[in-house]
Amino acid sequence: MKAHAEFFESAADARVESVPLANLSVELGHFYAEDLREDEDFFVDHFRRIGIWYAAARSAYHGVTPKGRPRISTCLLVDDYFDTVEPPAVLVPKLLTAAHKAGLEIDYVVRESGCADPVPAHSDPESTEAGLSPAALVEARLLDDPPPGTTGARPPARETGWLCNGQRSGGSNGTGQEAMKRATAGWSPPAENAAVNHSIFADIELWREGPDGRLWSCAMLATAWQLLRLGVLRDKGRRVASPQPIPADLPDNWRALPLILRVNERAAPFSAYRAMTICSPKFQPIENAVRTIMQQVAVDPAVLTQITERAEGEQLTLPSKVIDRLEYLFVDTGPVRGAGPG
Amino acid sequence: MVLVLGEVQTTALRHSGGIPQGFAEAALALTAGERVRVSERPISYAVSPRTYTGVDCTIEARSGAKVRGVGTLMGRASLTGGRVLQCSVVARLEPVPGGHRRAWSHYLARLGVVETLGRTDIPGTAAAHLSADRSVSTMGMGAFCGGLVGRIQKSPVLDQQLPLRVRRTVLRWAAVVNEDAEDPKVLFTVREDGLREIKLELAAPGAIDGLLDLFEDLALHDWLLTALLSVIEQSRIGVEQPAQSVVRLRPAVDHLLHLWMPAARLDEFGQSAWKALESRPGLTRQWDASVKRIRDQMAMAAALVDRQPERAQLFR
Repeated sequence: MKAHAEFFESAADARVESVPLANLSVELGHFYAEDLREDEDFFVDHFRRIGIWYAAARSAYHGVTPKGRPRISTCLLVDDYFDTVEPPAVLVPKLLTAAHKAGLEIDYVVRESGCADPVPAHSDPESTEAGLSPAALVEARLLDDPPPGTTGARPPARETGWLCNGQRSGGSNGTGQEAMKRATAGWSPPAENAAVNHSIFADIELWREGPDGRLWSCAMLATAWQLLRLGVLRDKGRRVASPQPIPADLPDNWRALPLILRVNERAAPFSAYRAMTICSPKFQPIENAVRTIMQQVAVDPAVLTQITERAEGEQLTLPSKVIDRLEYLFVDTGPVRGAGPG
Repeated sequence: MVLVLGEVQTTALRHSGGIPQGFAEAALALTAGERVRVSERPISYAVSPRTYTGVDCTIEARSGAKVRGVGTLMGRASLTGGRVLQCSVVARLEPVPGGHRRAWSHYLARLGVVETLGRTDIPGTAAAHLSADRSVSTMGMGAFCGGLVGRIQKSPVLDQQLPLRVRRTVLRWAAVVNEDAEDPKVLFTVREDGLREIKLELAAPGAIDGLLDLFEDLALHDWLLTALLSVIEQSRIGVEQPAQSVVRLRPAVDHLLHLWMPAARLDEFGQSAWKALESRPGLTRQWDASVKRIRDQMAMAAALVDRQPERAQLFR
């Protein structure tokens, strides 16, 4: 008889940790920092308008979930990165009460700065080993959309801190002789790689170096946010930032809070097979930028396979492309930046 | 038919001795947030996370027929025995009907695949890949692979001391998956310009990792043999005094002899492919003969050291 002996060493194992998944994650609107200073009535109005569409999304998922009731969670992203907002002890209760009065329940509150801060590498909050920020994890996985003529020997040209979906116009960028040559040859138009007849060229700023170090762009942080919602980010195979329960005493400082705060203890999981965002059409340019970035994020195939297999186990069909798991409802959510409806 | 193309470059790590595991992990960390996988049994081995680059370019068959290919090349780097660096690039070519490129997210959902847009001459593309000059390669695979070698060799954890002077070897391979094929066929050729080529024909594609492991293992042992022969040649056995030759043979003993372990980490398919290769070019036969030659030289030098007349001659 032939003996079978195989060596298994755990460090040589490429497995990735899995995350709990809901069927759908619904984002209940976007707010600029100035809107977050509005009073409770402003938010009650906002959530009432969103609630109509949230109900529609829920019933749509009841129709397509084969086994029992769909697991749906709701979330909000608080912009504490670019501006100072009211402390958690004031803002969180205001948002929760307003949503409740409008008949909605918020399950998770996430601070945007958390997408830029290093997350402890272990889910164990006492661990001192610093991991990467969600934004840095996204940056590490960017794989540029190659213009025609790109080979392994001629990789796509990169502009530091920027990402585009095609070829930039000639004569308008670059330095030195190459730029001179292009300038004298005249302007040539930019081109989108996947253009259908005509180009829709997008060039997205990812970050810029400031006096206090790197300042990530809103689009980059929002991309990390959407990928967290879809449960596809990992740091060395480990899940990034598991939701933490709301502390009894909310701090005055947002950065003292975990990245993902579970404010409803009965909530379905934060991450989901699909994610929907309900917001004003005014945010459409941001979402377009997010999609331009997300089109070029090479999610770990081991994570994709894991999620696909779990979906199959629940008899769910899931688009193979991560970007197709995002849905939007651009609707009138009331005034944005005090400037009337979207 | 499906075609998998690849290239493996093998060289000595620019470091004076075997590097410790922590250094190996730092040198091979090609992607932030991804693990370097290490194992110590049956031989010390570390492999980088996978890295990718996008391509949209012309792929030429040997007949000159061209087709556009869009997708991603996959690369990885590994370190065996803390001493031998290998960088590998691979792409699976899949012909798709229709001549339109799709949204980039489509290609990112199938990393390591290059879709060819239209009629593709698979045997001709494999032939063109294998027969190309050392300086050119299908889709710039060689340049991508060489770029990885350069990037790792520049790592600040390395002391930049080459332990032995051996040329970097390049092994190009093509695996044609043909359902009508019977037993797997493998053909290994060492070209005049030093490039190694392997053509493999098999019925079922299996896991891409299995193929990569196989070709990297073959390239590793081919490089070890090349390095050993080069050290023996430089030692001028029979020309120099035995003690002199032994000094020159020392790098082989220090850096090479313990690394020979064919098919140690391969699956069943890889082991059978190795067996097929061993029967003809007989890598292990040549290795064993060379190792024996080195040991004979050492034994002779040791024996001579104990005899006064020769000793006087040796150490005068």
